[in-house]
Amino acid sequence: MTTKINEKIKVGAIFGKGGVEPKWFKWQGRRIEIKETTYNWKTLDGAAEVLHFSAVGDSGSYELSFNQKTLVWVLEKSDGEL
Amino acid sequence: MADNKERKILLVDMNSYFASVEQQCNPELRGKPIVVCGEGRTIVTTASYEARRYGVKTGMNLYEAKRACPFVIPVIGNIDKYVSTSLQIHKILLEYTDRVEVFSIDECFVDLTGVERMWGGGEKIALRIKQSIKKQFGLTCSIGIAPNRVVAKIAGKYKKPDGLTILTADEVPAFMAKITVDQLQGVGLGHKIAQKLKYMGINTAKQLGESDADMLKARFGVMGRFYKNVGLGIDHTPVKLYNDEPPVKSVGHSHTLPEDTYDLSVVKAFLLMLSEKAAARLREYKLTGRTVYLMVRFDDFEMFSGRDTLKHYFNTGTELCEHAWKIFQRLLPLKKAVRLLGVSITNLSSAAERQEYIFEDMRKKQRLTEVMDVINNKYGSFTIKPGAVKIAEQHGILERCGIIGTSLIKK
Repeated sequence: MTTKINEKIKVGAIFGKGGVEPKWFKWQGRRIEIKETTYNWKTLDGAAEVLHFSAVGDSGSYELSFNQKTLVWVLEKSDGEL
Repeated sequence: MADNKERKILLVDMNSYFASVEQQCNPELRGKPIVVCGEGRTIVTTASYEARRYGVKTGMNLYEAKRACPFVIPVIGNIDKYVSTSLQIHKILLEYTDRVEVFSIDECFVDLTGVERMWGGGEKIALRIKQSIKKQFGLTCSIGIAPNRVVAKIAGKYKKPDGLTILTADEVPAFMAKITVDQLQGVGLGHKIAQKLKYMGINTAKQLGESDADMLKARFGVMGRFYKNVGLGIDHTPVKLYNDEPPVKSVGHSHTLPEDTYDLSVVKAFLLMLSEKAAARLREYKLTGRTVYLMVRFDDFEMFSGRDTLKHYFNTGTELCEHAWKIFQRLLPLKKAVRLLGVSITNLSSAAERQEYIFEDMRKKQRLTEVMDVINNKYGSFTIKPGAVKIAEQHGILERCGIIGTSLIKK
């Protein structure tokens, strides 16, 4: 079941090949490793471009976003255990 | 314009688009029956092929979908995701020509006339497009190639999923002989026209093409000739350039309320929110309008619609709401609870043609709207919002009406 989270998180990501790929994130004291980024898309929030990622971890799938203006990562949703 | 024999039109039709995107996002959903829908009280927007095997269809409510397939998985849609993907797919198509016309979020026409030889022919282009889309997004599409748009669209839907149907001008008559009137829906024939034709004993494209032109004209007016041409597989409509802006004919928003209600303050709050959203889009398109259209659906699914044409053009949410509310008052006192509201503006014109307001209070409102637009464009939709929108939020208004997104990537 999808849960809306919408909270800022710390993320470890690799910037390269013209893009960015999240590798892990921390939320509520836990570190969740991302096994695969399955999909990505973009939106605009005002004038800021926001990158969105669907990612799969050991205990489910997650949706993360990265605001390229504020450099803030947000955990948007989770289908996994948190 | 070149005649039909010289044209080569390609139609790309994404397969079960929204559902396929969601299955790519979440591997747990792959191979399973899923439906994409909105939040709360909602209907099926797209069903995956696995769900379709159980008879689940677009337009069903969730209760009907679960009755058809008890283990169907509902997934809340995200229009931003699908629009973003569509724009990326357009870039793939634009590698071949700039004559790419976006027909819908999941369909594009591509005019290959004059460019196909550079790429080894239409079939090679189609296979390259399929491969690129599959590699980049994991999605499949069906493609039709034909001498005109009508036949290309029918051919694009002929084999699904992952189909490819290629027709030369000589092959069109034999192909159209296999097509039913129901299969012509979406190429200029609506559901009601298809039903009327079948009632008249016209069940196939061939029968439609062979029907007497005068009889069709007597029955359907000027559209009679058009329907006959559709049946014959004849169409001269050009494919537009990608950067040609389509004329906007109306701008509106609708929303299913979280609960059926008789509460007029809730109705008014939602009307204002919908009006602000519609008016903001109108201003984004640099347009004004003067016909207000209101749609109301009640708890028994009966519908009411009303319109009002003003003498002046406008593009503010408050003014749209004011006139929509006047139309709504024709329903008072309410005999049934309100389930859905829709507001739109038609009879549009360029904003440059609108009259400047004469009265100071209206000029103030206009200036306030312009300032709100600047702030909301920079910091995000509804950063600043009218107080009534907050009332709507307290009663469960979503940022999105159904699954209509609030922010679209700019090209």
